[in-house]
Amino acid sequence: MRKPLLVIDDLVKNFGGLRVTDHVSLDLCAGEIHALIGPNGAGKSTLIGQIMGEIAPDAGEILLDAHPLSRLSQAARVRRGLARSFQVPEVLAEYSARDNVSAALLARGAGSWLKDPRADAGLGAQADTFLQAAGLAGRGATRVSDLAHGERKQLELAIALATRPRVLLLDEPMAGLGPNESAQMIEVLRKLRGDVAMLLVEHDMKAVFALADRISVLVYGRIIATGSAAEIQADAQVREAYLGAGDA
Amino acid sequence: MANPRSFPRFKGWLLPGLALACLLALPPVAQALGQPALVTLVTRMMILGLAASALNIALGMGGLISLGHAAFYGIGGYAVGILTTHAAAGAPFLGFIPGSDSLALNLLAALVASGVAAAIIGALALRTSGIQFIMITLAFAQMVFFLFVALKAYGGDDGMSFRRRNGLLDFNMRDDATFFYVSLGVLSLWLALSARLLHSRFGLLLGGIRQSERRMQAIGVNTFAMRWLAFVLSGMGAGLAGALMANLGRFVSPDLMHWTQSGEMLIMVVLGGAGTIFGPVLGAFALIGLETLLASWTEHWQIFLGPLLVLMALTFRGGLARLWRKGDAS
Repeated sequence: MRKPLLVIDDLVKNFGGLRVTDHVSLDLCAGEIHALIGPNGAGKSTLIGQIMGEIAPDAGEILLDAHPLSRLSQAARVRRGLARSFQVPEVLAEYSARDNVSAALLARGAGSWLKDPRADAGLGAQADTFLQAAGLAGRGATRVSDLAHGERKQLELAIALATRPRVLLLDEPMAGLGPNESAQMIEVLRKLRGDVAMLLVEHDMKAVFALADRISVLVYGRIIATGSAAEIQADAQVREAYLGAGDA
Repeated sequence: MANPRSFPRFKGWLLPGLALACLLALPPVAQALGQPALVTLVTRMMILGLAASALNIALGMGGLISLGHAAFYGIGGYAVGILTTHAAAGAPFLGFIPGSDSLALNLLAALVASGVAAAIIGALALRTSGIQFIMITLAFAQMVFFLFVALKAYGGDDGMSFRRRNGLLDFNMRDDATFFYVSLGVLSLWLALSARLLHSRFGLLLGGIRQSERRMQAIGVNTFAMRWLAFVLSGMGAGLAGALMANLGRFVSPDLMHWTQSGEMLIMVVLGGAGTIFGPVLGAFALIGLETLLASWTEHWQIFLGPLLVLMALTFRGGLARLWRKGDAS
């Protein structure tokens, strides 16, 4: 068995009296796509928030390469190779798509310290490669407020990739996409498989089954099953709780 | 010449260049027209334009609505007042800091003093955001205001005056026209620095934080540190303006730090165009110009100023600077 890159060990988080993360343990190996599925309110986005350091867990530990992350700031976690995308795109609406990616490149120290980053051809070219990888070739100069929703989701991915992550936490990358856009996003993620490990939170089961090496099912903050697509589809508890009896 | 990108760049600097030419010509023209008071008025506009431009680094670039910048403005002013009177008396400030009547040294002291104050206030205030940030900056500024009201050694409520403006090289600083050119020089340097900052890695990331702090944190930016740095730079600029203002009138008082002064700076920035280079200066010229004009007509000038400002805010969305140049901030 491969050594896991990211380990979530017995994580607990309560919001008041509500337990949103209930002794969650899961791992992610290098290059693997591990999908996390579950009904709305199961605690998937909260889990991503805890891994990134936006939300402090009440108990448990998160390890990257066997190093505990709990005392590290979000910036330090990003430096160690964590990146995330947001379910509702958090992009810089007043900037061009290229500047959004450039910001991520600058944040990790790329580009010249003396030049205007918008006039730095080298930086712009680097940004364009990430835009291309996310399926946004030729859209670099477009202001983000003029991008379609699907393109913003792609931009989210380009920004995350520009931080050169080892682990990518994707919070519903297909949400709000049309069938063609979803197919394109699946293709983009498929190309990235192997280069970067992905924790894929997703409702679109077609995408999950097309991409995931392993699937974990989160219900009311608890992992009720982990396994391959076939195993999950066959699991009676999962069918009951999430997929619906006649769905699988 | 054939480069299509060079034209917008040239166009962007055309009007500021013209404005600079007009300003350079102003003292002799005002003299010729028999209006020497105009020189002092425009000097005041330029200094307040510098203060507004400084606030713009926090407000326009960083999205930090500070209602406490009068504190840094006043601290800059008092740095000049205190060092100048100690130089005249021949006694060191606090027993070990020698007084000074050199403009260069005193401007530096004002930058340091207001920078330190902004560093402390910023470190505390930036733990909040939104309306709390506005209130906490206001509260700190009021504390500084009352501290100086209570400082009887430096004039307390009445403030303090000094006999001569600080010296710079061999210039005759008593001459209002000379001081006008010195102020213009400082303002031009500050604006060049602001432009450099806006078009730098720092400017791009700071603008990103203004648009989405969550996004910037997720790409590994220490957003607190960047906002703090913007706040400190902004406070230092306000201190620089205060130091010049103290020299203009050879007088400082706690009025420099009154919260209405912070409010005026905010109006200047918003009126002129937040996030633009020249907007805040334009806003200062418009506001002081209007105030002066209306005050010459009626003593109830504020009744007219209020509605006029509302009208201008509604008419010039995004500020006066956007009138001639769209997207100055980008």
